Amino acid sequence: MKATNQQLDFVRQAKANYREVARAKTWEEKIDSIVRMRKASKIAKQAMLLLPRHTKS
Amino acid sequence: MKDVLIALNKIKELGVIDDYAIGGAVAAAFYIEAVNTEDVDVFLFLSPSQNSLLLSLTPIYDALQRLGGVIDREYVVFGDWPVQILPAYKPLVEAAIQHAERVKYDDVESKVFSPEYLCAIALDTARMKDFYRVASFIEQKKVDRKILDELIDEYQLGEKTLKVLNWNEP
Repeated sequence: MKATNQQLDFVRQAKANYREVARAKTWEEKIDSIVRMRKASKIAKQAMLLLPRHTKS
Repeated sequence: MKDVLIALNKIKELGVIDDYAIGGAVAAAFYIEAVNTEDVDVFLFLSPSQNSLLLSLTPIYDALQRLGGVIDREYVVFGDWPVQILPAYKPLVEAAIQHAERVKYDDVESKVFSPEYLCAIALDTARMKDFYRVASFIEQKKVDRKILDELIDEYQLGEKTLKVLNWNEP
């Protein structure tokens, strides 16, 4: 199902808002966010390993 | 991160190192939007040694360990932060340390590479993520293009700029 223009605009605006907030953070806040990103990335990678692998029949 | 900076300042005060500055993604986050990174890159001046490079880093690792760091492969880990010690391995990096900007993290003083030297070193390192970093500095207007152009000329990095997508943006 293709996204509508309205949905795409919503996503673009949400992304722009996120970026504005992320860029306005202090260095201390950004360092904390890096630690959170790293932990989230580790969890995501572990979850990926649990996904069933596609094999050719 | 505060513990990292306190330990680095202490080993500088003790004379184990001459000077240091933070580079890489952690330094870039001082100026632009933060991106994920596994470690904090600490660049430092190393006294000339008659022995191998590996041997001359030992006093630094030992000192950081005594200050609470945990040795893990090539890193010294303080809390959530693995520290990678990187001796100034070329003139560009030496100059970056000399021109580093004084900053504070939670009232702890430290030094980070300037935006222009971060971009120049990124161009020199030349991985995809490095070109992305330069593009981010340009897009967020956090780099002095005139100073960066001078560094590019001085360190012959012109060809590397071709891989930065927004290089020709004002």
